[in-house]
Amino acid sequence: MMNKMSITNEIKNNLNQSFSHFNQYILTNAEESKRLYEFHYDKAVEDVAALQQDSDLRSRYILRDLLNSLESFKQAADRTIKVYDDRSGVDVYYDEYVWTKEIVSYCNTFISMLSDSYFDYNVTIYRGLKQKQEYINKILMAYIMVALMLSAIYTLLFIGDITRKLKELVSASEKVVKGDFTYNEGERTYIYELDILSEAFRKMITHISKYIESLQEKAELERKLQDEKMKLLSYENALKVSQLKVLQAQINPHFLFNTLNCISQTAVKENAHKTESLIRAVAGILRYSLSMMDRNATLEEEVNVVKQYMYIQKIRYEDRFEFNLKINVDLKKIVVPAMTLQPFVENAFIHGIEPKEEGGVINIEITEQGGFCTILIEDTGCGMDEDMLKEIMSDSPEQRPVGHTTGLGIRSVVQRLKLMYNRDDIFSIESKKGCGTRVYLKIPIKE
Amino acid sequence: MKRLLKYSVYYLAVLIFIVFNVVLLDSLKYEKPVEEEIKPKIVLISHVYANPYWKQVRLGAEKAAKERGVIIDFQGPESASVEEGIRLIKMAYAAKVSGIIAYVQDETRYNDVINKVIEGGMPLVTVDSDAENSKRLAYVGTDNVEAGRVGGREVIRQIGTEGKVAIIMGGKSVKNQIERVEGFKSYISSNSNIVIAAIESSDSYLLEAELAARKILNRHPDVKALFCTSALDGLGAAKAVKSLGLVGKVKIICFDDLPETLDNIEKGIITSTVVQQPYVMGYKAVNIIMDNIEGKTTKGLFITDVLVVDKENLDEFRKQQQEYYNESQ
Repeated sequence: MMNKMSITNEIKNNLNQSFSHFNQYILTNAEESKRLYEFHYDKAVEDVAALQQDSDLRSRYILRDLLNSLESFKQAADRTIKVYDDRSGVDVYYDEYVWTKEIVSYCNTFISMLSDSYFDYNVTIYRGLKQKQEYINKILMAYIMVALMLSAIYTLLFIGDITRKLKELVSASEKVVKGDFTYNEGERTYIYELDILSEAFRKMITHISKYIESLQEKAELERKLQDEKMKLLSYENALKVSQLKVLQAQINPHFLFNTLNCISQTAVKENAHKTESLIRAVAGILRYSLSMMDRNATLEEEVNVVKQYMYIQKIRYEDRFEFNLKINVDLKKIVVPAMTLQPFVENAFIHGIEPKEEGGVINIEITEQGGFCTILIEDTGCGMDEDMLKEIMSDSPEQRPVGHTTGLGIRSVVQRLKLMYNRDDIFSIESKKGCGTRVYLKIPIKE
Repeated sequence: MKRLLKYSVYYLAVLIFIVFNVVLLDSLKYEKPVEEEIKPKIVLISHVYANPYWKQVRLGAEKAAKERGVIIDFQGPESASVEEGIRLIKMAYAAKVSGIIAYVQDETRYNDVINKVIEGGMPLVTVDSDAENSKRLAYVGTDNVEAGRVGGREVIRQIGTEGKVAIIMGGKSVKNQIERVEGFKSYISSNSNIVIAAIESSDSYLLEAELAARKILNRHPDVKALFCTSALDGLGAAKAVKSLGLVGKVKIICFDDLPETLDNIEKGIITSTVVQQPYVMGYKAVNIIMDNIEGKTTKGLFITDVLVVDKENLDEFRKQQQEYYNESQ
């Protein structure tokens, strides 16, 4: 646009140059002036033609008038020159000259009109641009507002989804923390990752609960196994303990036996038959206790040992006590650990009868009752208070019952029985201070 | 439901995005000026550029131009000036326009330039005022003598064939004023016994016209009607009559259709006005030029009729004017 303005200015300059060279020619008749007059005129026309290619409507109308006026100027000027060249007087070409001059002024008027037109056009274009600018600004503002609104809405929805899902997950995990593995997956969000997360969470929880279940099962199994092992161990332990006791009690059995044999031989030689039978009883008990350590015995064998023991005690204490044995069971079919009965009987002796001045009675009753063999060992000794009972039943090492033939305490005997039959109700004891003691053994009969 | 909302939001967003982009791109487009072919041009040179009377001439001319595929370049001096008028004609001639329609302000001084244009082979038509002795192709306009006669007929229609009237004219030496008075006189002298009590001139100034009217009414209280030959004379007379309380007693017959004149007719202060038809003049003039360009030689005088506008046909007249105006929009 500025370009057009400058071209317009150039046209003006060229026209005026052309006219002044024309004047010069009229004054001086210099060919150079004529050439220049034509040259500048041509330039002006060229410029006008150039502007016509690229102008608004109003300016094009003015340009047409200008171009025509320029042509008129050329014609008038050429006529003037022609008349002048014909060497006519001034009065002849004067009118033509004046007309030419007038046309130049008209051309200048058109040129200034053209400038105005361009200026106005610029102004309108500028206004248009300004309006457009405002319009675009408004559009952009609206655009931005709408975009913001939409994104805000979307964000809110999105965040709402996320928080809802997360809350769900949080509450679920809180539940999990409390050990509740029931997780219901809520509705789907439209956020891929979250859905994957919740799905994974759900799977994880199910896996965890399954895993925990299996762990519990395993633990259960292991516990059972452990229990079994413990039982076995304690059984073996009890065995070992009894063996140990026995071993501790052994002072070279061969020596003992040989000695005892030697003594009994001597007793026979000296005609001391009582002594001989005593020694045989002791040797019998000893042999039994040694040989039966690592196998179970029948009740019959047990009873025999008890009888031999009682025989020895009878000789010791003569008539300070009475011993009764009642049996109405087939003793062969009942199996117990070796040295089960003897310790109870010995207990009855040591704690029941011995402390009593006037002595007492020891009864043993072996009966059968519905698949069980009940063994009652009863004494009319001094009995025990409850503290004593507890002490007897406890297994504390400082409470080792002393003076037992076999060194076996009641506790370990009972334990062996329990382990063997895997029952808790095998042993029971009742006692009262000064009224004696009753021990019940309830042993299942294995056909 | 939620899904539906979600998807509708998505689609809405996309739609809005697209619409906005289209609107934006559309608004960013640079509109190249429409390469309209420029048309031949006829220059219409008026008496005074801003005169409403000439606006009507222009409207008529533009109507015709639209029909004949040319454009009108309406020009005129800011205020009446013979030199400027002549200069505009010369300028149009130098610019080799297709034709010139000119108002002649001064016959004697215009003859030369008109002849120069015609000799240069450019059609020129005079409008509203003529240069009879020039070589102009044609004249389109009112016959002012005839217009004066029409005014006389109207006066007789209003006051009968007896009594006194007075005349207020514009410029004493202006051709059309003289012709109007001439026509008026000739008509009433041959058609009635009406006596002309006085002739006053206002030089086409409103105040002067009012003073002239007062003077006449004071001196000749028995005057039945005032005949005013120019637009402003009528308005001045109306003011005088109104202030002297003679409304209805003294008839005013004047010229032209200024809005104030029409308002006064509506109020009954001015009785009637003789109206020329500038619209028709403009229309006709352009057609004559075009006919000549297209090879139909059209020459001579083209007289446009005058109308008498009074209270009866005022509305119709106004409607007509409005239509002319609307057409040009």
